[in-house]
Amino acid sequence: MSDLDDPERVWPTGLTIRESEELHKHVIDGARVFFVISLIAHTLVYLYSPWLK
Amino acid sequence: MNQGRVWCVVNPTIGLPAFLGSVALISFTVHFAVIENTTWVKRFFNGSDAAAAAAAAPKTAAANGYTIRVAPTGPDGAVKVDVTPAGAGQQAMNAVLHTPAKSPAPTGG
Repeated sequence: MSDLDDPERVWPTGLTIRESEELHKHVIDGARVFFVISLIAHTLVYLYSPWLK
Repeated sequence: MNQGRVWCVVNPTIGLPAFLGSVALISFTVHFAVIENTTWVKRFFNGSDAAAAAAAAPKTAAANGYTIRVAPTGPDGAVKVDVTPAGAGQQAMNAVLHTPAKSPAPTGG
């Protein structure tokens, strides 16, 4: 963790652009995992329940 | 990364719970609405709708040069029957069949 007066820090949050983009990568990866799991779940529901039949 | 700098202006301690919470809230709302507005979910969770699901699936059969498709249409037991000719020159037909109305109870003595 660098100093608070690091000129690369962006305010109001104080994260650097690199830190922000790294965090955002995890957010997007999590969203992709969530999407895949929900896709599998909806497929199973479509196949094995009266949904949309 | 597209929009990757958002966390320079949105505090992650606020933005991440707000984002995840809104996703959870929308998901809960949609599924709750499905449970509230359909009849089959409760029956299915009670385990009595598996046979009904199989019965509710449309069935087709071929007879006399026609394909006959029978599909239940609703909880009142009505069925929709589609009759499709195999050859050209004949028109397809369909009908919705209801169970006969119960005869009125006898009145008087």
